[in-house]
Amino acid sequence: MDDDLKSLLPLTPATLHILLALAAEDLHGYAIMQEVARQSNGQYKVGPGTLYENLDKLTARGFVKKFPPPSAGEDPRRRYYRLTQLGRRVLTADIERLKTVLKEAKLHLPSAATSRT
Amino acid sequence: MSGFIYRLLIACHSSSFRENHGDEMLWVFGECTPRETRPLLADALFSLLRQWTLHSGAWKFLAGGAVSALLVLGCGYSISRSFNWSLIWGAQRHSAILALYSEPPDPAFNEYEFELQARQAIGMLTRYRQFDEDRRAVHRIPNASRSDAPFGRNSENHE
Repeated sequence: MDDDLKSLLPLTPATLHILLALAAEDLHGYAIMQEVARQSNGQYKVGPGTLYENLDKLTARGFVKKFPPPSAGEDPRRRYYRLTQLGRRVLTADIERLKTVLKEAKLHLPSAATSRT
Repeated sequence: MSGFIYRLLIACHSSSFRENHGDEMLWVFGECTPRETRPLLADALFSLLRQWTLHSGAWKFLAGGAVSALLVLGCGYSISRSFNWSLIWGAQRHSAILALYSEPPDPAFNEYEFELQARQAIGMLTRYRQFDEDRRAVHRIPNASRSDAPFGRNSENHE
């Protein structure tokens, strides 16, 4: 893992879910909220206030890029967000970190290894 | 009613946040079912609190106020109760005024202000302690504990 990325980790749960939601495709705010709820089976929901606060921070850090609606027929109030290369690298690094956490958990907590996800 | 409250909460956010996301947040609120309105209102409220405390740097002043209040409570323990309350009120008002009329976020400025406020709070405490000592000297209040004082007076009366 790059040393420059280490300083950016670990990501907060909200940041991790938002970046993960944007990993597959570009989305607008409401779609990100829905995708986060879907990814976590409804266990983690992010509200618009938290979402836009985090998106502002992620945009400022260069993890995410904001752009207007791609098609003219869409609501002009919507803003779309895209994961940048840096954002993707940070997300990958955090997923790697979580993998080691999970590995340790499986070693020390046998119930974690056998439980259904 | 909930729509009005939500609009109000958005209006209380910082102007840049409101301009960038206000319309979209209202649109999301309009899309949600009535069951989801309460969590959305709570989210907007927490977002507002975070912005006005953590992000604006006002937390430093609030923390300064809390620390100064604790200092006052600790140092003013031996002073009379009414005087103690006036000290606490003075420290809190001092912190609140600084917090309300402070400049927009600028880390260097806020740190300087925080240090200044801490120095002022300590200075204020020192002055009040001096004032209390002077007051005791003028009124010749014995430095003994309160439980001893009535006993002392009673013993004088018996004589």
